[in-house]
Amino acid sequence: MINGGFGRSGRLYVDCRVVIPRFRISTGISFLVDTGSDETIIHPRDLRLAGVMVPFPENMPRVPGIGGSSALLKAGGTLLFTDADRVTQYRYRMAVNIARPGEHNRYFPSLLGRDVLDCWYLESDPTNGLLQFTVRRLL
Amino acid sequence: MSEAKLTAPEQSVRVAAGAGLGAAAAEPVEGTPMVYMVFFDETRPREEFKSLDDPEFAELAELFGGPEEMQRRLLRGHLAWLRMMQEWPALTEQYPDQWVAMDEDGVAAVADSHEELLAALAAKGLYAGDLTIEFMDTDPEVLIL
Repeated sequence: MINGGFGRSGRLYVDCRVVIPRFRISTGISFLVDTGSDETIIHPRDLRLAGVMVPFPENMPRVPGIGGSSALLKAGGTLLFTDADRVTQYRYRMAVNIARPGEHNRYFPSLLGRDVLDCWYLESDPTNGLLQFTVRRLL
Repeated sequence: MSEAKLTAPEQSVRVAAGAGLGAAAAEPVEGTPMVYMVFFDETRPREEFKSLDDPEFAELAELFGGPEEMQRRLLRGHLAWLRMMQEWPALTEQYPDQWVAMDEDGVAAVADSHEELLAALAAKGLYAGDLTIEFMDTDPEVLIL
């Protein structure tokens, strides 16, 4: 079971270690749990927090979203989630979207999308401060 | 990391590929596992426990400086995040509109700007990616995603 938490405004978050060797990224990211996002996306804020620079190519595919479209770079990476037992690590090797920085997404949290969330059973009880994820199946 | 160190039984790390989900995953594995890792990898078949000799796991662990260091850093980072989630309200009162870096032992650095915070961490020999960094925003924006 993975423990999540509620942010200041009540948003749902889960902790993850993201490793993307191609860009020498190994950083903890507090992902916003977003069942409305089809895929997981790392937004510029979290790379900036870790002091990581990613070289983006000129031409990148754009993906529509609420509030505008984003230019996304896909990179092979590993997402690691720590179980509540503090021993088990759940490892997801997958293509991770990295959004190109822009004014519109400067302060967006990174989003944990349904590519991962569809594998979990989610329990959310904000009135009791409870947010838990039970891993149900593989990708 | 030497091969001998990787394969020493007392330092072995069990790796599971899609096995041991749920409660079973939390069960300690006989053989002194330090990291019990469940692999989710669509490119590989379901497998039972694999040893640290698995080149993919060894490669991942090496990025962290070895399996012991990997487990230590992953756990420290996670504990820092849990602590930040718990102490966020109090920290916002204590450090309004400042940047705070948290490690598992508490506040590691505080600064007026993100850049200053990174510099302070670097001066202490701390890697920002291992910590939880947040802006103690006293007036957070409403966000519609």
